[in-house]
Amino acid sequence: MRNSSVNEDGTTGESALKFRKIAYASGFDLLKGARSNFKLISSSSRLSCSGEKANVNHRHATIIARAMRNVIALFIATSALVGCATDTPRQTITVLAASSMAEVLPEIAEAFEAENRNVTVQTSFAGSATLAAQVRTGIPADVLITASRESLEASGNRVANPRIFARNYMVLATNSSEINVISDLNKESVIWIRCDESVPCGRAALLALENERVTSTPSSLESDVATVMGRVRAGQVDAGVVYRTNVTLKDIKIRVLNFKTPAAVDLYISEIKDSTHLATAGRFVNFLISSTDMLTTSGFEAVRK
Amino acid sequence: MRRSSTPALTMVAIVAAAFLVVPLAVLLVNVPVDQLPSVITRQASLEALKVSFVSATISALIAAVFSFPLAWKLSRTNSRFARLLRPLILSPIILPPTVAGIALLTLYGRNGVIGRFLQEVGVVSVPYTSSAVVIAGVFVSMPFVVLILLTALDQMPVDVEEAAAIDGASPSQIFWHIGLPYSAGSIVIGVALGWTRALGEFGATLTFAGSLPGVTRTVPMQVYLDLESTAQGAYVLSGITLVVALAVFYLIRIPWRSAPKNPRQRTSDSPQIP
Repeated sequence: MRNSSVNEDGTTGESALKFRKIAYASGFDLLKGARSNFKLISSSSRLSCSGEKANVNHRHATIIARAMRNVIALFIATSALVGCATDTPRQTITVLAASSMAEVLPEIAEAFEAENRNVTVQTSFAGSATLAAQVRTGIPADVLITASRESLEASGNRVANPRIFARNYMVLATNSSEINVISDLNKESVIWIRCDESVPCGRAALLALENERVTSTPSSLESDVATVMGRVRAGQVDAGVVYRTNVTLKDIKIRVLNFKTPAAVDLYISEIKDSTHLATAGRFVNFLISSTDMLTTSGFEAVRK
Repeated sequence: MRRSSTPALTMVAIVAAAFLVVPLAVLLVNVPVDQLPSVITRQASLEALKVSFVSATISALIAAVFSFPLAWKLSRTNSRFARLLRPLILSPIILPPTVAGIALLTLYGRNGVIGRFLQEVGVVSVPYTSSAVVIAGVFVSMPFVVLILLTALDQMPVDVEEAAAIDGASPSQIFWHIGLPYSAGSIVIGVALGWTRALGEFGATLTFAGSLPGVTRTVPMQVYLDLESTAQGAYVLSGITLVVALAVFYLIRIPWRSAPKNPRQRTSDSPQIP
């Protein structure tokens, strides 16, 4: 995310930057000089044929001086470029995560990058089943976070060491003053929605609604919880069954109602076996699991085994 | 022997055709034929097919009824207003479908201009109903139909109309007895394309109408959902949609082959006015 050139031991990368600038400058000099050198050599060879010796000597001296300058420039350029290669290599790790992590994962990634200056964390969010399909078909990635056991198993054998690190409980998010208890969903004028049964948040929503006496049907069954939350936020519906983490601090107009049955979804995290930065991936996984404060503030129930 | 292309041109044409045809062929090949009966008769698939076909047909018919007069007026009016109106009317074609859905929501949604009024009057809200699917279908397919009709009407020879007018035909008679028969072929093609466009609509319908099985969940939405859980269902429904689209294209070619819509065909000279 942020691109800083500070190395692990605290030195800045400015000296490397200076070297690179000198290399470029020397390279350009070489190119510019080449043209005038060529003119000098060609004109002097013509003149020597006509016998103007004094001028030729002067030109010869200039050619030799130019040649020495070019050789030195070449030397600086190549050594500067070689010098750059010995900097601490930048690593980029890719984290595939379920959509429910969309608010908290960037914060955790930034904190990790602050402690590991040469690492950039790239995040990609999607529904758990999509993530499983991506991993199974070979997407290059280092860490996988999913919200269901099925998608974990569907990811195939690239998943190294999955463990549960958090739990996400279902709540009812509402923007309407008409809804104060869950059974208010039965009111005639209320429009409410939830996820479809074929995705994890939908199955959890059904569990949550089991012990509530809700007889009205939802007006739409979405394929992901972000759509449900989006519609509630935009005021297109009165209420939606979402994860607690979907309701952020910025949603000041949204109220949260709890269900009698605490229905939750377990979140799994794992490194990807064929990751090219396995050590860094492992460090990130441990870092995330231990970031219980950030997870709890976001709405998860942190699980540490 | 007729030489209208070079080997290089043929190569490029083959590559272009393959780029389009090969993925579709691979899709058809990948449809699990043994699972075909079970997936088709699954309740979700039947409901999605019913919603899609019924709403697409209604949308196409509505679009047909309203598109022809609109295209007729646009092609005949030379005012600056008409010239400015054309790109606006055709814009839903280039608009990202989700944006079209948002546009419909801002008008008909609970906080929308018309939606708020409808709520006060007591009419049930429009979004999340099957009417919303039809409205979204009309919104995305009508510009298609209008575009096709405009291309045909813009090429209609003016002297036939003028001759009729001189002979005493009223504008209404010109519309019904000259304009409509001339454009019949284009209307059929336009409606067929509009129908397939409404059938395939996803973003606008999802945003505006939501996704409720049997009410607003169309085939594209069912495919999207199936991709999240059972890939086999997605393949079967996709295969069905593809076959239906191909069938439509083959059907519309049959009765209208004689319509003078191909500019490369030479038509007879229009009658001279003595």
